[in-house]
Amino acid sequence: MNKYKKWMMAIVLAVLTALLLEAAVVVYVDPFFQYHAPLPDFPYLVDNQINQNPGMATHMAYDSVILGSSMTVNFNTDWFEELMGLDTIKLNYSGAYPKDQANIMERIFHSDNQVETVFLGIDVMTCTGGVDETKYPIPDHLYDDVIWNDAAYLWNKDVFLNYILRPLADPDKTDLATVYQSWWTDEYYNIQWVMHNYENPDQIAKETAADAYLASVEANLSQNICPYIEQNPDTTFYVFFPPYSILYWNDVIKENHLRATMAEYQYIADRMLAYDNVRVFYFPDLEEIVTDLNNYADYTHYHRDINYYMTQCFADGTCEITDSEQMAAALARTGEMIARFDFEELFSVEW
Amino acid sequence: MLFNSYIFVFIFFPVCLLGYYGLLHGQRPQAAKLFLTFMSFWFYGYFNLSYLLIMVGSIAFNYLFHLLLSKKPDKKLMILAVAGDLSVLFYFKYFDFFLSTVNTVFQSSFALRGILLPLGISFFTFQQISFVVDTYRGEVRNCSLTDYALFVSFFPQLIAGPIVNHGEMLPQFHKAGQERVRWEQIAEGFGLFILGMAKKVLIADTFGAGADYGYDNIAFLGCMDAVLVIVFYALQLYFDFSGYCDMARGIGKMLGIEIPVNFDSPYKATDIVEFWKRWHITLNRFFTKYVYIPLGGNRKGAARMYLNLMIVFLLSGLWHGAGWNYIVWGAMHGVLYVVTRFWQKTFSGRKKARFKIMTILSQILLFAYVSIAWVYFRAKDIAQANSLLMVAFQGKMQKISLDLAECFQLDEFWYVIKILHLDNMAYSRYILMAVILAAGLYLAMAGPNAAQRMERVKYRAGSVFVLAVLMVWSILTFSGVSTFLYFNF
Repeated sequence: MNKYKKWMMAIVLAVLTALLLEAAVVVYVDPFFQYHAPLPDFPYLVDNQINQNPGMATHMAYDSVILGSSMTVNFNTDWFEELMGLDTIKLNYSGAYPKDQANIMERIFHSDNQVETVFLGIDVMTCTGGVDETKYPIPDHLYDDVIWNDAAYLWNKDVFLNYILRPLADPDKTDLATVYQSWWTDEYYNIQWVMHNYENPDQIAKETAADAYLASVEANLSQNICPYIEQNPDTTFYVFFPPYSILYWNDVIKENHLRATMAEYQYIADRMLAYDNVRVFYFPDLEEIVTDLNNYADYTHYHRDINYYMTQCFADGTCEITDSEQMAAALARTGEMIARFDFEELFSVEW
Repeated sequence: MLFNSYIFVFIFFPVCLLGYYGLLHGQRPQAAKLFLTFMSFWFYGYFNLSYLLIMVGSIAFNYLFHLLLSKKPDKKLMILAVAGDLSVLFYFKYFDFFLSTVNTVFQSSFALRGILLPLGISFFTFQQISFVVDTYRGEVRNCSLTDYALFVSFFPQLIAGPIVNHGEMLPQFHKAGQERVRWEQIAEGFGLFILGMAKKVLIADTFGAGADYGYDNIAFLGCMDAVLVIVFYALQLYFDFSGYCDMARGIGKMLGIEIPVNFDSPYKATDIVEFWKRWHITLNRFFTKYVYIPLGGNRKGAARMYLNLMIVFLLSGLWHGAGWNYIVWGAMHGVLYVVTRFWQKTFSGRKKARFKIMTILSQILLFAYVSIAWVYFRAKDIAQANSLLMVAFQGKMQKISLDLAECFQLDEFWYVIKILHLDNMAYSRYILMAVILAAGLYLAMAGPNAAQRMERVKYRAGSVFVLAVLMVWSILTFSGVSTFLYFNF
């Protein structure tokens, strides 16, 4: 063999050996849980919802799951064990659109787990977009079962360095009970911080028609949510509407779509109430919580104590809506709460 | 597909090499060329199937004119073919620019079409224009359709050049299978491919992160940040484009085809005339042969020559992109080129006193000028370019942005910094940026380029180690893990 051929072959061999070894380490540790359950002794770093949720859904053991946006990241799964006896996993996506929920439900219901309960937080503002829209681009290779496109996982510098070597060098195993928890610490939850950062929108003159959102909400539910409820009659879905702060409602009023938003809430509740395996919980009318901005870190995100209260409600049925009339009454209470609130006084202070 | 992708490295290119040499080994050169053409179509169609249809249509159109002009060199026919090519290019690349200019000038409101620009259309259009014109001139005769299709679509140079001409490619295609496999050429090509890939993936993309951050956050930059961003982009562009061309040349060599050099350490140039002999060499060759000389070149007096040069640079600007900022970029180069030519012409008789320090100073000044011109090339419009330059020249003198420095905090060096306890130093966040910048400037302005390195390489264990590390490092960098800030909805 001439020296050039030998030289080239040596490089090819060295590269292939290194790549195979690296891939073997990735498969063995599997930091995104694509091939197997977590190793018992490895200090896994879990901090990336888009990349790690699909593998967690497929290869971790659980009988209950929390889905939703950043409104659900402060749940502690230990509470669900303590109050409801459920072995729960958090698979939330901050800013999730309905399609994001569909993507992860696809993985959940194709796993070997017998899923008893799904807690699904619904954000009305995300239900009005396109049915195929996701908040962020989805790495397809982590959401399918084919192996041939896994190169981007197996030979990926970030995976190897940040999720395998760094945890080994600087171990700080993620507690899955509180995984994805908001970075806001307790001192951020106060009216001063919230109001200082809040931008009061300009008043829009033209009102959005009351039925403006219904078509896209209908499409989103029909394509991204309802099929999973229908195909899994043995699973109970706790569908809940989170309690955004009174500032959220200020936005709605200023942007002049209160009637449309209320109609959307009613529509979603009615669709969900039609299923025997769905329980609906409505929290936006909790006046004590919603109007006290010390419970919030911004106009929508509440303190984890509120998450704990919601978990208690799931356990004992408080705030549950059982029919369309109850929902209408809850929405009416919300309307009254908004009407009662003194926005003028709130905005008269220099925060 | 891109050269720096898993599918190219793991599937496409190994299949291509095995298939091509397998067919040559079986004494079937014609089939080998057809196979290469098919692979080139796959390579191009992988981006978007409709792009492939456009390219195939363009090949058929130009080949038809080649046949007609081979029989009878008719000027009108040649002009018709060139006009056809330019019309297609105009539609895909310039139509929206034309409409928006009309809208601005006449206060009209023609809706923009949002036409998708087929990748590499500027390259394969120019290549075909040169072929048709040369057929008319009698420089090329009776090229077979298979050779022609391969000449246009040959995947190593299809989407980012170099702009090759028939004289350097067709004879090599003819010779396919007639010579023994040259392992030296293949090995050199392999090395060049790896070096090009490392330039693109490891160096250019790192500078690219800094440049992107800067252009996205001009309002928050201080004067020093802006200067750094300008330099980052100059380096990104060089390593990106020349890295890609190195990969193209490397692939060509591995297939036994020599593709012309397109970059020859342009930032080592000391004046703009020399710069354009080193930067995107094949484009300049095209403009010289098919625009500058037909316009009269330097044969119609000095004033006309300067005008011709300006026309070439303005066209070059427009060729690079459909926007006024590209024209400003072309004009900046044109003006300096004309001034330099005038200076050289006027003072050519004087004895040159070249001190080393003067050479270095010229090189730095030229780099500064070219980098400033690149601002118009990179910015989304003239206003954005002006605002970055304003910050660079008049912005607040403040500490270099930590967010900018953060773009250079490569994870692979995290361990080095930790082990050396550099993370406790006051300016630790700037260390990597400074080191990478210094290395980039050295490689671009003083060190040997990839081709020179491969000419000097010793085929021993040391180079095996270095190239294997670079290749593995590059492949592992093809993909990252997207992180998004989950603060809000």
